[in-house]
Amino acid sequence: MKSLSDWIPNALNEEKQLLALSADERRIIQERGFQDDVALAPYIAYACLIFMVTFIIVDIERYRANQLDFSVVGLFFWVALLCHIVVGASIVPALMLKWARFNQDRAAATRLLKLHQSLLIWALLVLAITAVIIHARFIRLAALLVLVNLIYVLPWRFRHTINGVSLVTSGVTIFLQPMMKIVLPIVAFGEVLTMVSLCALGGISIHRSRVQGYLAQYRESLYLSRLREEISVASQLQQSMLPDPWPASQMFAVHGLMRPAQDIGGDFYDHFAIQDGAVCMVIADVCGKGIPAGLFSMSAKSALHATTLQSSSLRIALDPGALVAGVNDLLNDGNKDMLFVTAIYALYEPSTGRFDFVNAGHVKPMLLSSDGQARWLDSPKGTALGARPNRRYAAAHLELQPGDTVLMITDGVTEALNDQFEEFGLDRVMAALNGSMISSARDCIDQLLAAVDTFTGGVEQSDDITCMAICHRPTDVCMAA
Amino acid sequence: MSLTVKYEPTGRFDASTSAQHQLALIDLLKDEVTALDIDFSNIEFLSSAGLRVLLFVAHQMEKRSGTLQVTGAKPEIKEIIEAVGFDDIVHLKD
Repeated sequence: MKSLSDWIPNALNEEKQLLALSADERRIIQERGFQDDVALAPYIAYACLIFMVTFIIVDIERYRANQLDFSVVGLFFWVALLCHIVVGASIVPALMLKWARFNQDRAAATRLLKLHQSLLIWALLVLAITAVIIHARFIRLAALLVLVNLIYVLPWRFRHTINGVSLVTSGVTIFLQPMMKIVLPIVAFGEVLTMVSLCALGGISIHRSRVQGYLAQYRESLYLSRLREEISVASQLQQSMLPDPWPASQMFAVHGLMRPAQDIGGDFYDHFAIQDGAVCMVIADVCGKGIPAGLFSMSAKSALHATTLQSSSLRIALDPGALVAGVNDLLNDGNKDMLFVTAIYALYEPSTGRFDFVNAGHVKPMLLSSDGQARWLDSPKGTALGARPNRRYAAAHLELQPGDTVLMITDGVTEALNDQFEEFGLDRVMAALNGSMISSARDCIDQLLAAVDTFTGGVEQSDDITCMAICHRPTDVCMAA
Repeated sequence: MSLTVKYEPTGRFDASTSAQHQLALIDLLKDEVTALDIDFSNIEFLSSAGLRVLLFVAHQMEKRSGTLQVTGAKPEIKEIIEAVGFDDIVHLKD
């Protein structure tokens, strides 16, 4: 014997559709539905209060007209009066849900909501049947029934039964409509059920959109939290791919730092050993920020690193200009979106202090002499990498003296903003370091960043901040850690 | 046949607005446009993301043997475009 719910088509059978979802999704739907119903219950109660006024007037009228007797019709009026009282009673649990004491206690709230809904819906149904039998007007009732069904969608276990019966009898009613005069009571009863079934259908569709709304929000939040997780992993990966600190050495010290503005940065720096004890250093800034910039920065970093190591391993005398030009063409290949990266590419010879660098559209490096003098380092102009093919690059050369430090930064430092929307600017970088007796690469960067942080005063970082410094034959040994 | 089109954006030319500027500019390039003139006199700020959009459009113009011109840009913006070395394809004019 098939249960009634099996007769309901799948599209209308909510239970079947719910079974198709995961347990978590069902739980979310139930939870959100419950919270919405608890929030709505007091307002249903207010509407019922207004209807109570008409009910009370009707009952008083009937009493004064001596209709509340014990004839058959009178008994039905007593039933109607009882139902009016029950509707009034249903207002109480709904209003109680407004008290924090009850709406925070989950079990109590569930009981109150169920009590309110059961009282209200049973009372309205019995009233509807009574009204039909005594041919009373049931417009008020119809209004309340529509209201309740649309909002609550008869959310209790008889819903399917009621909906099923309604759908069947409404069909019968439409068929019998022409014979109304003959079969008036049946048709009247059918009319009520038609009304209920229309409410049921309306309620089902509203409830479905509510449920779909909950589901969509839940799935979206799952997707977002997974995305957040992946970005966090990618961010850690990006930081871990930055070069390890250089081991302590009397000859030189290199220190670098990258602070992304968003989880994924578009800046990078790199330093690594090449042939004959020389060191290659790169600092770069990809256009834009975030994930797209981060992806291109990883590709640019690999290109520069691999090209340099390959040339170095082939014992070719490294020509920074030619090397950078080669990488420019490499990055330009297939670069349809015209992404570009500005960079400083430097080759440093610790034994002689020779420092050759190419500037591809980047912020100029700064030389801090051991006597505390600071100056910006000029170089032949170079185009930023990746966007234009077949460019020439020429290196600038200098000889570092013991105690000299070269500082390379990205424009996240110069474009750091304070709450007055002023930029830190090149002049403040100069001011922060000029005249200071910098004793190590690390100190140089720390001093600069301290000045930037003081200037910005806690304003959110708007661009990736990257610094790298190399100190040649420092006066004291610098520990890498 | 030479057809010049003018684009007059206002406000900022940075990551948050670059997508809409790129769409608007690509829209303008639909027909046989040979010269694109962008009036930068009402642009207060150009970021690297915005510069990429200019490059993208300049490249599109270059492919069809046209030119991109930026007029009336603030000195700071001109400096940025010159410093990264794109003033040969993004022509700067006062």
